[in-house]
Amino acid sequence: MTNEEKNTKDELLSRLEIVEAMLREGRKSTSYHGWAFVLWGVAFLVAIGWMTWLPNGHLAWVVTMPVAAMISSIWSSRARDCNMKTPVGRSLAAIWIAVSAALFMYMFSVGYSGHAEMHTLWAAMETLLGVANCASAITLRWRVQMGVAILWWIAAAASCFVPVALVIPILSIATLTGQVGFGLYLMYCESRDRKKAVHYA
Amino acid sequence: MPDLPELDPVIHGKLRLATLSLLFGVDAAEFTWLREKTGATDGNLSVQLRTLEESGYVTCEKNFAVRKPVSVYKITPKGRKALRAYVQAMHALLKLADGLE
Repeated sequence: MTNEEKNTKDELLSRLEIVEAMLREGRKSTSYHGWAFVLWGVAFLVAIGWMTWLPNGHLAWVVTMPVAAMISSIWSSRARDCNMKTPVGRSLAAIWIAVSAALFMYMFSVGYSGHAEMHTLWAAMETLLGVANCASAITLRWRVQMGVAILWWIAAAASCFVPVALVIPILSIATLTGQVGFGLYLMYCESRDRKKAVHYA
Repeated sequence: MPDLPELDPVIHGKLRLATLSLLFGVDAAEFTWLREKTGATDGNLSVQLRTLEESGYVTCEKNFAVRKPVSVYKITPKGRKALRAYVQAMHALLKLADGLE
């Protein structure tokens, strides 16, 4: 490749980077995903509550997770399509799809095989959620989400050491802050940026 | 020789590309928000937005907020289509360039 061809290629790559960077800015500023974090956080809390206090607790996750997935799917399909098919968009989708699939397979298999151990079961879930948030934070270069990832990992570590009775409260607190709290914060950022940037519903 | 995809000259300018990409991801955006995100000066950004408007890629609505004029920009369907086509053309050119290496 000649120098001129290399310069042209670098120029093209820099322009693609501009597109991705601006889409990232737009996505960060007006992310439409705050609702998803809140939805899944509420779903987790409902499942935890059902599992702990209501009859047929063994059905809690089997029922709530598919319902949440259905609601999420319907809501997403109705949302405005602002997804450009760029590597950044694909990366973010890949991260969350991969972790969700892994969580589903792991939780279902371990939960219903009779081999579940309370500490490691929930620690694994918290670890995977930390992974998804960390990968997303690195992709978006977003410190707040990195903080959420670290929160999930602290919960995962704590779940390994505390008495069994404290494992579910730790999961509940992590869910309340890392999912619901983060989701509400995202929705607040969206609303604040909408006032500055976006004027129409 | 393979047909080289053409890059839309309206979008090819870096500031216009950045602005259109920002608008792609939002419903609408104020001038001040676009200026903050692109780091452009008022004058330069105004000129580039006017070019995009004349090409039919964005629309501009002038409102008033607390008696202050506010310009709000929106990408048009034509603008979305043009940006998608531009990105596809870039990918095609990069593939060709990789083939030359």
